[in-house]
Amino acid sequence: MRDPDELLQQSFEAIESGKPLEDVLHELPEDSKELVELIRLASVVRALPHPQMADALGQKERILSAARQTTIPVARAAKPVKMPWYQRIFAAPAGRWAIGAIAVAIVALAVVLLLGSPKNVQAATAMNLSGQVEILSGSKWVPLAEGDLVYSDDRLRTGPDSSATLVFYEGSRTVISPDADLTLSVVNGTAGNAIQVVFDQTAGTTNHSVVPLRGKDSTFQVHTNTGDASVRGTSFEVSVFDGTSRFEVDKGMVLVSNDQNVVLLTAGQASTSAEDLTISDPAFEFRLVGNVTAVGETEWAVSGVTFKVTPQTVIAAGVELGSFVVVKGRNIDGVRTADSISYVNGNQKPRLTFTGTVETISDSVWVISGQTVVIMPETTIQAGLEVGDVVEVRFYISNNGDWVAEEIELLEEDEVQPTKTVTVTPTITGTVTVTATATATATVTPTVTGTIEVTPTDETACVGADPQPTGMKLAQLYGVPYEEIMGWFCKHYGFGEIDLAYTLARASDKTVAEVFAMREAGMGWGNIKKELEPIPTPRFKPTHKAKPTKKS
Amino acid sequence: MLEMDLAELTLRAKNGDTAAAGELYELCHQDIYWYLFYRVGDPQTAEDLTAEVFLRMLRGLPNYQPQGKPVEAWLFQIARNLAIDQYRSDRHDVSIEIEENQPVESEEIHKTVEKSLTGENLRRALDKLSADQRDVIILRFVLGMPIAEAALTINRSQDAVKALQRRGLLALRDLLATWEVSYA
Repeated sequence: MRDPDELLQQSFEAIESGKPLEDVLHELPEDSKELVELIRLASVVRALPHPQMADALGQKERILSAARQTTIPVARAAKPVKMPWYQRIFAAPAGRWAIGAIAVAIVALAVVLLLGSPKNVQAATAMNLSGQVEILSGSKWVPLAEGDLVYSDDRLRTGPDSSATLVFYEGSRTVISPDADLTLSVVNGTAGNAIQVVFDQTAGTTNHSVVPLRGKDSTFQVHTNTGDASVRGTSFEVSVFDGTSRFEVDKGMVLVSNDQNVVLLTAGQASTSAEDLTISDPAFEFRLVGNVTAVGETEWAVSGVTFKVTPQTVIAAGVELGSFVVVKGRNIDGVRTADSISYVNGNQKPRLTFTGTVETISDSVWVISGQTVVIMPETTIQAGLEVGDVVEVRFYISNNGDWVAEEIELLEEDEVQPTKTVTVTPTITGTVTVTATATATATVTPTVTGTIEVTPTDETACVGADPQPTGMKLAQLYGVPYEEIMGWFCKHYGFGEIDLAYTLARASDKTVAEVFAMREAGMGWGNIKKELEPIPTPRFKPTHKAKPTKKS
Repeated sequence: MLEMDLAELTLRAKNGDTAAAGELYELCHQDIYWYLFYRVGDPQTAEDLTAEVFLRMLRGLPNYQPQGKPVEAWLFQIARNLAIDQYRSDRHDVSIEIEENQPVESEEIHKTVEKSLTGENLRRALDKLSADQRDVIILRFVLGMPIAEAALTINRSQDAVKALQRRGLLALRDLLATWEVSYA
């Protein structure tokens, strides 16, 4: 059956090109009664006389008068460059003293505490267990207990209404949702240095909060049958369905890749990878938690919000009108399209959210990626938002169908350079208080209880004997030497950042070095994107590229 | 008028050519007025808002960047925002009025609708559609805007506009049938 939207449009195009209405109607398929009605209705609307302005001439004169006063080329005032936070602090003499004192204290503590911590950390700790959480021991599944250690190659699964959290020594966390099946293929690290975490996930959903990683050997990856997620400090979710994986980023950036494609996701975006190794273009995501209010062949609604359902949408068995569900989907070319509809886990409350780019701002309405949302006096809006920002909107549907914003918040990555958290092992206990008094005015009293913050320095030679697979992919993707990619990597940039820098350099007249220089100057990637990529362009995505190296 | 001409006029207006600003008004005011009339319903309000669209255009010209969109899409975006503001303002006023007077049942409104399709009952019917459907019906069939331009104007894909177009017409058909308004 032909798409009725398309068939209707083709009929309109024929009429618009001069074809007589009756000829167009005559050529429609026999069972097109509805289309005939719509085409006739549209033709009548087109032919209706529409009202004329009463005083167009007078209005034009007023406009011209205003134009004579206001249409003067105005050089845009140079926007003051915002000083990065660290420069602002160091700009003040007292700040310099205070920071210096804190740094000395923290470094001293770090040395003391790191010397007492284990050198090799090769396990994650299971916490917050709920329901049926099991680990494969030999050929038998046995219950996992609170505080159990999970080592490399351990396989875990969760039952319905069950969940668990794995906590890694450097602070990263993975929350495993119900009905999941995954193997912690690699967990390895040295306190204060690198960590490698690799999951192989075959079912369910996992949420990862990854502490920014440092060092060439650090990695945090989630492999699925159809695509892999690689990150260096971010918050993201991976869901595995039959034949499809879905990746969604809450914060930071995630590189999704497989043997044939690679896509970079930034905050608020989602993508899917399929069995044929296609990876969909990044798209803004939406999430609806509520009751199903409409069920159609291709269109459903939850809490009054309509969305498209396709043959690829994974719908949990038994979901029907009235079911309390969570819908995860993407805004694909302006059409809300569901990736999955599943029952809600736990005690989630109804909640409607979507992400997008702020397009227009006024006192009463904002337009965010084409969606108009009404602003009420009680709407919570993060300070400083402006056109071009990527935001998450929490909203509700009013009685007249308006989308009313409850909260709008920025989704871009943090401007502040991340620090690395080293969690002290249980063998070190107690509270350490250090008082550092600056001779000027600042008195600083940091209290450290088991956890310290240090900014690690990186240090080792970066290009090892074995080619780094993601580095190889990026080199091939952008047609530059592998060593060039790894050169940036050795300067502490993640592969996601390198990918973004090359994309932005291509989209602008900047060199890659100039893009990184902007980052070095303290600009966040979100602001760099806004400056270099004023018109959002589709991400460069190669198709069917030769696999550079075999995945280990 | 070709979009290229509009773009050139806009550039000239941006550079201080008041005659070009006048030509822009001449070329675009009718469409903007019709759009606003079918959005807000009151001819005088639509006329006032049309003036406001062009005044805001003048204020925005120094910083205007086409960003791949036709000039008309920019003007319609301004008009759309003004219409939404007006709707919210009207809704507030109406609610006060209704509190002070007897409620007006929707059935009463329907009885006053004429039995053949006119601009007025089209407007009443459009008022019942979703904002996106209403915009697409106005742009496509009142203003005769091509699908590609309509898509750029409301910042949706052409597929999305095609879907909104069909759903909007279906809703319009059903409303008119309920009100026993004929259009055949």
